[in-house]
Amino acid sequence: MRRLRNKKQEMNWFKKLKVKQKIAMSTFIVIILMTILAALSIKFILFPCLLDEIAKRGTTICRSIIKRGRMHITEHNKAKLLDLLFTEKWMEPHVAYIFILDESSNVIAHTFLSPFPKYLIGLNPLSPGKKQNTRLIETPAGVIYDTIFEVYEGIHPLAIVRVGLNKKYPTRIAYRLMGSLVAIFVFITSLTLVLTHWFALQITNPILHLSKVAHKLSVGNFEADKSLKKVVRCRDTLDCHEIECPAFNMGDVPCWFLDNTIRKRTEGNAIIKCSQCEVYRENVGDEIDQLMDDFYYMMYRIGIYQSELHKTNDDLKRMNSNYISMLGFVTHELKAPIANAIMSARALHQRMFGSLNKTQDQMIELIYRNLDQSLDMVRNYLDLSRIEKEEMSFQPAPMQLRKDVVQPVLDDQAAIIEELGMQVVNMIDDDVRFEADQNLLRIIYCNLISNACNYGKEHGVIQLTAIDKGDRYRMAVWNDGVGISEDKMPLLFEKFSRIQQNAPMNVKGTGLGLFICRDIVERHGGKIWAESSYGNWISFIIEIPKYLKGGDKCLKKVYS
Amino acid sequence: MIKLVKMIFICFFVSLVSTCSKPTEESILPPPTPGVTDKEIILGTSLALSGHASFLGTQTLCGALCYLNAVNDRGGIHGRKIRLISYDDGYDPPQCLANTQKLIAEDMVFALFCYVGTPTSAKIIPIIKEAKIPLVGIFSGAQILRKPFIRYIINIRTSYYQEIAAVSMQLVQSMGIKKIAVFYQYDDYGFDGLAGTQIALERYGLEPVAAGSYQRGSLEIEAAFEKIMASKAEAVVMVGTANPCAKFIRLAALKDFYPIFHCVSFMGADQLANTLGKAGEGVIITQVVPSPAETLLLPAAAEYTRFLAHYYPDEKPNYVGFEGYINARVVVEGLRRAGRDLSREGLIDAFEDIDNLSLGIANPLSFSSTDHQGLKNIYFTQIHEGRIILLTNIERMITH
Repeated sequence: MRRLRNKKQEMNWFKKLKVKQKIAMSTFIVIILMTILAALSIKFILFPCLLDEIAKRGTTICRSIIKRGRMHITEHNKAKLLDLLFTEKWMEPHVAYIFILDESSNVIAHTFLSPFPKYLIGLNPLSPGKKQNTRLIETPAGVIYDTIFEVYEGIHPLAIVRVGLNKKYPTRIAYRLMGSLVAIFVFITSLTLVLTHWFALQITNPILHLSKVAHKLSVGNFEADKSLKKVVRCRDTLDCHEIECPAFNMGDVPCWFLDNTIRKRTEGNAIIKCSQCEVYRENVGDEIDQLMDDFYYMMYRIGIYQSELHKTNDDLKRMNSNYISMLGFVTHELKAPIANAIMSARALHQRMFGSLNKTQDQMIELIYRNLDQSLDMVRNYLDLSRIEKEEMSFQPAPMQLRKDVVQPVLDDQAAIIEELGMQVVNMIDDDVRFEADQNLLRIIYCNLISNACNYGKEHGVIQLTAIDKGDRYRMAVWNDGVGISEDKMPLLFEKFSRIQQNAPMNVKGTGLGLFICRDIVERHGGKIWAESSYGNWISFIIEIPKYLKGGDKCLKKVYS
Repeated sequence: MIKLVKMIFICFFVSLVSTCSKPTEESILPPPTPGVTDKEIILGTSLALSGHASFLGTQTLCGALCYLNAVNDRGGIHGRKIRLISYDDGYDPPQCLANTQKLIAEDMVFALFCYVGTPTSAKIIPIIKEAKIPLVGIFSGAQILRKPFIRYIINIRTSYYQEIAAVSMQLVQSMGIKKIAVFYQYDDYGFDGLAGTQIALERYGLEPVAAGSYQRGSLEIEAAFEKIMASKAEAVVMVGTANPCAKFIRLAALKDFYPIFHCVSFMGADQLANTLGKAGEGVIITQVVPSPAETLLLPAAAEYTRFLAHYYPDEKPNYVGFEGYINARVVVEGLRRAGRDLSREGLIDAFEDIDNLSLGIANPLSFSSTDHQGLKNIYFTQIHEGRIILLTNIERMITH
């Protein structure tokens, strides 16, 4: 477990390194391993082979001396023999000595420049039956490969040739070779590290730069960073003319980029391109350069889109503001004349200005009804205007649902309820009390009951309930009638949404009633939804907390 | 991972250090100052005391010994007398090699001195280098003893190249001679002379019109003679020993072939003159030492003559002997400058300190750490009426 933990820690440590450090470290480790491998190869493979070769060389020298010096030995020509021995010695740099003994082990000739070291004679004796032997011997001058070779005249021994090869010499060569190899590898390592560092910088610096730019993008700064881009200016590199090159006056943005954004066209919608422009050539710079270029152009495009988006947003905001202002103004101005017209119609209907015949009475009633609907519509638009402008006041206070909200609405809607022959079952207890803005709740119940009347079954039932759910009240307005199909449910509370499924032809509306209800419920921190059995009934359910937290400022209002 | 990296680092640097350490070298050479005792300094020489070059060897030895004996009689150098061990190599390189090994390994001499001949001296160059033993005063002007530079060889005489260059200049420029041939001994000595002639003539856009050789120790010069005579050479540069060259000159006279003959100093002018007799009339011999007969003008010549008469009354002064005497003067000077605390390296350093030393021959001696040739002058002599005389109708000396 500890090993696993340590391994994890090591991996984490490696992960923390920067890219260029990882590259440098990996390269360095590889080169070190190669160097060690090479050095070990020289020490354990090349070196023994070299020494083996040296040992065999001694035999070769002996044979050469015997071949060329046999006559001098038999003629006792010491001068010529010495000449031969010294010549052989000088031809091979690692020959330590050569000497020849006669059959009685007396020295005939030798190549020492000091008194002959007699101890050498017995150091490499020949085994019986053997004519030659190579042995490693220790001398004051160092370790020597001593080769002994017996010279025969016929079947009788004539002399013994001894050749000593210095082990130091090949050792020195091997060490020098190893040293050179190590030096070369150190040089290569240093050079590779420098090159790797430089190359890593070529990769990591742009990536770091891109990373910074990406961070700018993430915080919403879309200003194109010109340091990203290599200088590729069409008009700077070629003698482009304004007519031919659409990017001529566009600074450092290349033609192909502008082709997509400006689209200067000739007849037939062909896009003007500067055919000689270097920018159209592919593979300008390496992959990093191209990435930087593309990143720059991406930022440039995003910047353009963003500015367009801001402009559009500004336009929309302006339009929305104008719309809301106009809405408020129009509905406000309309309300008074309509109210006046209703009053006049009512006065006429109540025969305050004389009697009316049946037809006149019906007409007045129709006028009154239409004006009433128009007033309802104006009121809805006013409410919407207040909501859009965030001017709808929210003044919650403890209230009694049945007495302060439901009953006044029922009283207002009594005429239409009676006219439609609807049966209202008010099952709300008197002790349903909670904190709310009773004016706004009245608007809710007004809209819901109005909808129940308009869309409910003729002579149907409207049932009002309120259930205590602990920390909140669940109120419902149920009516039998057409109801709403499941697929239309999501549109129910949308602004200007009128679901015309089997609705009576004469029912007119703004499509704002339920939207306003939802807004008011959400101000109270509650929620509203509908449940329906399509073709049978529909129930609008409102849940409002008993105790409001902080008023409408902490409530989220969602507008469609 | 960290441990692995550390281990790799350690292995790497240990292997680096261990591979770079050099194995120490040991030597089986004798103790630092062999050949030096409280009472004497032992020098060794191998030279031709017998055979066709024996004149050169014996006269060089006599000339050197007469001075060394005089020095010993005066108490030696720093209280040490000089003993010279000499062996006869008969002008045979292998024998010279054997003698030299004996001198170094068995006689354990302090330095080698007064060797005679190019092939013999060239043969022992590797031994000189290995033993790091000085070799002072060689009776040879060969380039191989000068280049490449060898610290342990002290040349006193001028080189053959310089001798031949001097005579070539006179032949070509002063006398207008263009057809020059080379007669040479077929060994390192002769090759050196041939190369010297080719280099000298190249300066004038010329080359030898013919080159003929003979084997060292033989008198078979006929083939070379025919070749040179056929070339109609106007001058012949002779790089050989006295007997073969003398035979060549006599044969030329017989054949009515009369080019100007030039012999280099190794010839042994006196021996040549004695061998040729009247037939040698007009033969030019370049010398690297002045005439020993100039006893009035040259103190060294007077001293040489006096010492020779004292120690070797049967010998007559000659150029070869005079050169041996001068060699001895130089080696004694070096030993004197090296001081009582003698070493071989110290002797070489002492020679290199010599600058413009007067030896009494009107030819100052100078060495340096990069130039181990002491004398620079060349003298033109000619055989006239069986004697060697200094030439007067061309420049007597050419300084290089």
